[in-house]
Amino acid sequence: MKLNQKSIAILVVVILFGGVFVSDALGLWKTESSKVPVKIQSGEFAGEADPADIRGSYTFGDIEKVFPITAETLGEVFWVTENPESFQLKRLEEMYPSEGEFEMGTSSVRYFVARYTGLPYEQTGEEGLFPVAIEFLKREGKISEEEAQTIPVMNPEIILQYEDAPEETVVEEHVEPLVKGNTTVADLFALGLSEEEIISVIGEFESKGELVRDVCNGNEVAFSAAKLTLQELAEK
Amino acid sequence: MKNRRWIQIGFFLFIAAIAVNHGLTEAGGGIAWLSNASLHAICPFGGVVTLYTYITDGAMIKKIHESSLVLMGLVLFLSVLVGPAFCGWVCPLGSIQEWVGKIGRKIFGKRYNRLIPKKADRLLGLLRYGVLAWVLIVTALSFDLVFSTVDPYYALFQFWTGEVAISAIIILLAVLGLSLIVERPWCRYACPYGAFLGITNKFRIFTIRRNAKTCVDCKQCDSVCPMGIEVSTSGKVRDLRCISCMECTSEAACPIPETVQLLGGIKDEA
Ligand code: SF4
Repeated sequence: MKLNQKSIAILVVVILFGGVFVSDALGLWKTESSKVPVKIQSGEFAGEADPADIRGSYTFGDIEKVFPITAETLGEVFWVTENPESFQLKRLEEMYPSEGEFEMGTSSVRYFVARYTGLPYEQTGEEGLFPVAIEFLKREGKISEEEAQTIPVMNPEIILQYEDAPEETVVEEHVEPLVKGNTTVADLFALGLSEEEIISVIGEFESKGELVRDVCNGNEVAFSAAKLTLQELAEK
Repeated sequence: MKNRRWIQIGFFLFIAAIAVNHGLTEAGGGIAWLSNASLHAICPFGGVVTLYTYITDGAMIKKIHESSLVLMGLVLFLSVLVGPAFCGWVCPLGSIQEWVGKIGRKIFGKRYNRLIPKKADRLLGLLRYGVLAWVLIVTALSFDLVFSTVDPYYALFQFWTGEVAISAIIILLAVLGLSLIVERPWCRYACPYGAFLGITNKFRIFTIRRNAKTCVDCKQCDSVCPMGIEVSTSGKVRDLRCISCMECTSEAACPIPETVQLLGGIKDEA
């Protein structure tokens, strides 16, 4: 059997576009990570989206689609005034320098969503909320006065610092932490840490693709302390 | 214009449009009816580099998505059928090298493609497999898309974003510059995906065959082959570098009808 140029042209177009069309129909064609957190596996809330799986790549709009909370509300309590729907959580860490062991980042959003929705969430020790968020939870009847006392409060001054300081100053003073919520075990290897060093700090892990935070949670190691130790080891 | 040119131009513009639309969408705009996938999501080589982690860990490496695995499967199927037609007909980096090569042909005339000795050209061709091994190993170890730091294809469609490593831009410029003296230098000497797909030339179902009985030994097929393959001495082209471009066939360069053709079947293996 003989094929000519025309047949090759047809084969190329039909196989590539047809294949994409069929795979799309079968639900296999995914060009981005799904912005839907995994479901809680067991217990009273089994089947509900797990706030602990909210990722830094999600926007407030993505959260609005999955949890009963609006992007506007999230924008209000995290002081994001412009376009909260398309605001990616990972930008929080860039906006607000970390304060002690608290970090105004993805974990704080996970924590807020959990408190607002009443879903279970195990704290990692680095969450904190601005007073405006705590007031909001109280006003909405999501937490009592006593509970409000137990929530770590982020110093609102860091917002004032951020707003007052000229942009370059903020960039110069803000030292990017090496180990963050989205750091994987593979990233630790890339930072030059050995397997023994990593295991001694966070415990055994199953694969290099795991998030350091998840490994810490699984091994009951405080992530906030572990990331400081890992940072020191990486800077040695 | 030949079928292949149209397909190459079509895919080049299509990929460029998707790359631009991705940037526009991230900035809050974009064209709704056009795909806004990232360049990594529509690159079949992403499927190859993530295969190991996908099998061993069930995880995709960063920035690679399931669409890359789908494309990898489709391109592999096409290659088993007719050889690496993806390289010769679709890949925009291959196309742009050919287009720059046309300028080179005008400048250097008959010396074009002959400035690198044949033996060196063949040996350099093996470099592709070194690059392929390096990419697969470092990706599996780092869980990261390390290749994007040197990938001229990524640089070609993202150079305006500020996200491209300077090393990738330098390699792209070097590749385009070298295209003026030798056709498809990246494909010949460095492309890891071309190396991977090239393996199918050893067992593809439809192959380029030369009929020695009717051949007049004019060597037209050799001079047009963009990958420097000596078609005139082969019965069946099983060279790892063939990209199924069909330029050597009786439909294009070969002046004798039914002498160099793309035929199926396993008879008359040369
Ligand atoms: S000219 Fe012929 S031998 Fe050379 S790459 Fe194209 S199809 Fe293969």
